[in-house]
Order: sequence, then C-alpha cells, then structure tokens
Amino acid sequence: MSDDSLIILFFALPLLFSVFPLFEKINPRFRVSKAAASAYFAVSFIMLILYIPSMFSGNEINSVAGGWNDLVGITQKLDGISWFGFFLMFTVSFFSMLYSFSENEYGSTFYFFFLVLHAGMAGMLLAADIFNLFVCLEITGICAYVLIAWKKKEKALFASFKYLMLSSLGISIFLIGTFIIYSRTGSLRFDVFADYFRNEENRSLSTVFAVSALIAGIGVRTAFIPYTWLPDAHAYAPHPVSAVLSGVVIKVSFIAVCRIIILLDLVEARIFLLWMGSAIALIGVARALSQTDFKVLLAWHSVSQMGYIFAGFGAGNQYGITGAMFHSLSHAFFKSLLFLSVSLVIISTGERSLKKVTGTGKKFPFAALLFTVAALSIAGIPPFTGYVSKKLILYSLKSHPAAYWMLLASSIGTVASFTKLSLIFRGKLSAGIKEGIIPVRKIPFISGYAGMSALAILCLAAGLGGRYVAEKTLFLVTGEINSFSSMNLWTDTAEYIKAAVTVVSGIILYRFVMSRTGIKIQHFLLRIRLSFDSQLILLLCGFMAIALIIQFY
Amino acid sequence: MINMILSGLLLVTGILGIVLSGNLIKKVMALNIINSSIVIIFIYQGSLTGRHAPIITGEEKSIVDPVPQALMLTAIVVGICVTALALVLVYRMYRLYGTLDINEIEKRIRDE
Repeated sequence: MSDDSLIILFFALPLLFSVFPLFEKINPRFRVSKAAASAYFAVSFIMLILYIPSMFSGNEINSVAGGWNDLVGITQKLDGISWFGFFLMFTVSFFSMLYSFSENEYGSTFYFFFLVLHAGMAGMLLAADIFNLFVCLEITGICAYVLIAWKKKEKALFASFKYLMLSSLGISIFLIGTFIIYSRTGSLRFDVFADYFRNEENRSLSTVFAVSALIAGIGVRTAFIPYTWLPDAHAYAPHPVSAVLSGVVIKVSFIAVCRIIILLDLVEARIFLLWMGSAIALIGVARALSQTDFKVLLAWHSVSQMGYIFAGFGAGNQYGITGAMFHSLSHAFFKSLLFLSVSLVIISTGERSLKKVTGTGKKFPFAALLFTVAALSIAGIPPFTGYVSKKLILYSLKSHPAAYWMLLASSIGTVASFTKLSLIFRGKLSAGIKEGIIPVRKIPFISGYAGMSALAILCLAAGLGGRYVAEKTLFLVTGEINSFSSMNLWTDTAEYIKAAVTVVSGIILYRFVMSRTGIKIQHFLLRIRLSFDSQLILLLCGFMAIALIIQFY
Repeated sequence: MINMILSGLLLVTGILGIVLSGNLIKKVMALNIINSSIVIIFIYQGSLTGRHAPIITGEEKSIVDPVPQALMLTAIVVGICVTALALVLVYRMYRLYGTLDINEIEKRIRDE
C-alpha cells in the first residue's frame, strides 16, 4: 500500500486532452482533435508502463484527490484489477480509434465525447467510494448515449434512448442502495462498508437490499439480463463505437461488479451469476443464429460471451476468476476486431445484411483474413486467444455439470453462427454486387488496417502466451499465484479432438439452421421480442431476484 | 415516518409512470420523478442529524451532516444532464417518426 497522487492523471488526462477538440469546434482551421486523442493514448500507455513494476509486485496505490484527509476527500485506488482494466481499455480503444481516423466521418465533437468517455471509465476503475463510482458511471453513460446516437439514424436513436432509460433506472436503484449504505455506516467507502457487511449481525434485509441495488445498478450496464438494450445499442452505433462499447465499456462495468462481489465476499451473488451466465450464453447464441444483419449478429454474440464471463466468475474458484478476466480481455480483442472487419464491408457497400452481401472475400482479402483470425478466436480454436480463456472457464465448471454442458452447447452454436456470418466473405458473390446494383467503393483504409492488424496480432499473442497471461491475470486480480501447470494447453490431444468435435457439430448445426425446418425455427425465434416496457419490468425483476437470492440462498 | 411514506409513494409513482405510460416525454418525466424522490429521501434523512447549518464556528452545535446535501447536489446535476439528453433524443425521434407513442415507434422499427 502506498500513496501516489499521480494516479489521478488517469482520470484527469482525458479531460485535459478533451479540451483540444473543443478548440477545433470553435475554429475549424485548428485541426488538433485527432492529434489530441492520439497524444492522450500515447501518454496513457507511458503511465501504464510506469506502473508495471509496482502492480506486478502486488502493490496497491491509494491517493486522495486534492490532498484532503481520507475521511473527507475522494479516494482513488489503483490496484491490479484496475491496471488490468486500463490495459484492456487503452489497447482496444486506441486501435478502434485508428479505425475511426480512416473512416473519417466524425467531427471534432466526436473525439471530445470519445475522450470524456474514457475519463468516465478511468474514474470507474479507480473509484474507491460508491458515490464516485456513481458519478463516473453517469459520465460514461452520457457519453455512450451520445456516441450511439451519433449519426442520428432512426434505430440508433431509439437504441440510445432505450439504453438511457434502462441504465438511468438502474442508476436510480443504485442511488437507493447508496442511501441505505450511507445511513447505516456513515461512510461511502467500499472498504468501510465491506467490513460492516462481512459482520454477520449486520446482514439485515435492508443491507442485502442495498448490496443487490449496487450490483443490479451496475449490472444493467453489463446486460446481465438478456433482451435488454445491448444488442440494439451495439448494433446500430457507429462502427468504432460498437467496437469500444462491446470491447471496453461493458468490461469496465463488469470489473466494477467484480470488485464489489470480491470485496463483500458474496457467494450467493456468484451463484446467481453462474446460472444467469450459462442461460445468457445459450440465449444469446440462439438469437445470434437467427440474425442476418452482420452487426446485430455480433451484438448478440456479445451477450452470449458475457454469459461465459459471468459463468466463469460465478464458479468462484481460481480457474473461474482467471478465466472470466482472461475471457474479458480476449473478448475485447476479438469482438472489436470482428466489429471493425465486418464494418469495412458495410462502409464500402452500404449494406449490412447477409441477404444482400455475400462472397466478398476476393474484394477484401485482408479484411477476410482478419475476420478469420477473430472468428477462430471466438470459436475457441487453438492457438488463438479464445481457446485458452474458454478452456479455463470450462475447467472451472467441473463441479457444475449442467452449466458446463450449457456452455459447451453454446460454443457449438458459436461455431455455427460464425460459419453463417463468414458467408460475407466466402461462397458465391451475391447477385446484387455482381450486377452492380450494390456498388463496392474502394476506400483508403491504412490506419484502420493497422489498428485491426494489431488486434489480430494480440489475439494470436494472447493465445500463444496463454499460460503466462493467465498466471499474470490471476496475480493482478486476486494476488494469488498459480502457474496453471496442471492444464495441458498445447500437448493434450483430447483437447484438440474436443475442438474438432465442436467445429464439426457446429457445422452440422449450421446445416440444420439453414434447412427448411431450421428457417422456420429462426422465424419463430425472431418473433419473440420484448417491448421496451417489459424490459423495464424485467430489470426490476432482476434486481428483486438478486436481493432474494442473497437473502435466502 | 409520514415523510418517508410520502417520498416512497413518489418513488412508486415514478416507477409506475415509467413502466405504464406510453408517451416518451412522460417516461422521461417519470424518470425525473424517481430521481427527485430519491433526492428527497436522502436530504430528509440527512437533515435529521442536527439542527444547524454545517458551518464550523468553534462553538459546539448540533450541525447537519453536509455530505448528503453535497451528494444530492451532484445527483441533481447528473439527473438534469440525463433528462436533457433524453429529451433531445425524444425530439429527434419525433421528427423522424412523427409520433411520441412508444408502441407505435417499436412497431415501425419491427416492420422495417
């Protein structure tokens, strides 16, 4: 434990750099917004590197803003888990931002909101008290709503509105929790409340209510209940924003939930996450299979992969926690790469449906290659990163066979739906493009390709160095040391056979889905939609469910 | 006690409004009511801790805990930002769809 007031820079830097885009807004000749955003990431990477030695020796750095004593001041804390979050955030956001440079459709205000979004997320990672977390959640949220609705298209506006209403309702619940905690302990700090809550005598109905309010309030942002805002918001946002939302924003909220659960030692909430996660993984994949819109399909996969992460975290053992965090990282890498590579086709053709665009592999060979890397990662094929993290999660579920089989089934579904999505690049060129009805524009995309290639390299590197990454992740998150030597990552032939079986059954499932009965089932699934009102009710029910489980389990 | 019940009722009104009302603007306002009710509860509880304004003059007085007030000031500001943004989104949607009815808008998005 040490003091270092410099960690506030993680929060202050993006705010500082966000001033420059506003200058450009006032005087358009003053073209600094892209430079400012790049400079922000450069400085942040340096900060991140500077803290490596203290983080990897298990240090925790505390700082109180403005030099007050820690009773009055706002405390910030940089520990292993927040360093991990920063690493994820900076890498994925930076490469997605390079893509937005190439796309070149966004003005200076876009970069302003983009930077403030990062200030909010940095604040969430550093927050050591509940109210600070609330404020940073709202900063993140407001920027996210604006960025989703950026292009002012119909669906994006409605998606942004839904996201706003659901997460504001969640935040109101969060505030009620804050109220109860403050009136009980007289403090807003997490560690004070954790000491209070761990004492069995203090576990009354109202404190349990408060804890579940905190979890549900942040949980809305991680979409722990399917059928909510996530698929629409992620699918209709501008392309780089989709990548950042799926890759980073939900992970940061997830890290905040993890912190609370780890700190309060909530075994019961873990059970909820385990079963909810397994269910979400299956539901998400089933919905994804029936989509034809590229980005909607990917967005439903975000739901499904979050299910994996929840299930792993819910299992609670070393393998599970490592797997959940590692999978957050790999999901951030491959899902942003998927969004970006698929968006390239959307940008050049102006179409986003598999009904209209197929077989463009020859026109976009490099994008097809990058897509393949990401698709193999998400399907869990060795040696890419998804293989290692999914294996850790499945390994952690040995004592919960039902959840294990549910996750295995959803990995078969994942293979099937990516066989379907890969139709964008493989197979016959669609009639529309061949006859020239849908024009294919060639656009210069240098920095976008650079960003995507970097993500692809990260997918491969995190897979090949899987054991090392897992070991470090475990150390950063919990401070425990395990080299995972009992797991044969690369030499176990049974694992390769299992991967092969998954792929084969995935392809069989894909054949079935594309058959006549399969299409009927797809139409049936597509008809199940929840209205916005029922989503709000579902959110309240989810909150109640968490409270009941923590109280009575 | 009666104060708590009244602000609790306000909260329930807000939740019912956000779920049951079909009009987008009414939904946003219901969200605002929820926010206000929480602010009122928080401030009311905080005001019970003392009788005087939290200005330290050196004399022993029972002062009101200043933290809830500071917190709620922030919460109000955040609430205003969210409401303003929500209304902008509603306005944009009204210009595109020509209606404020959520069922109508959802139906149109589904039919596309």
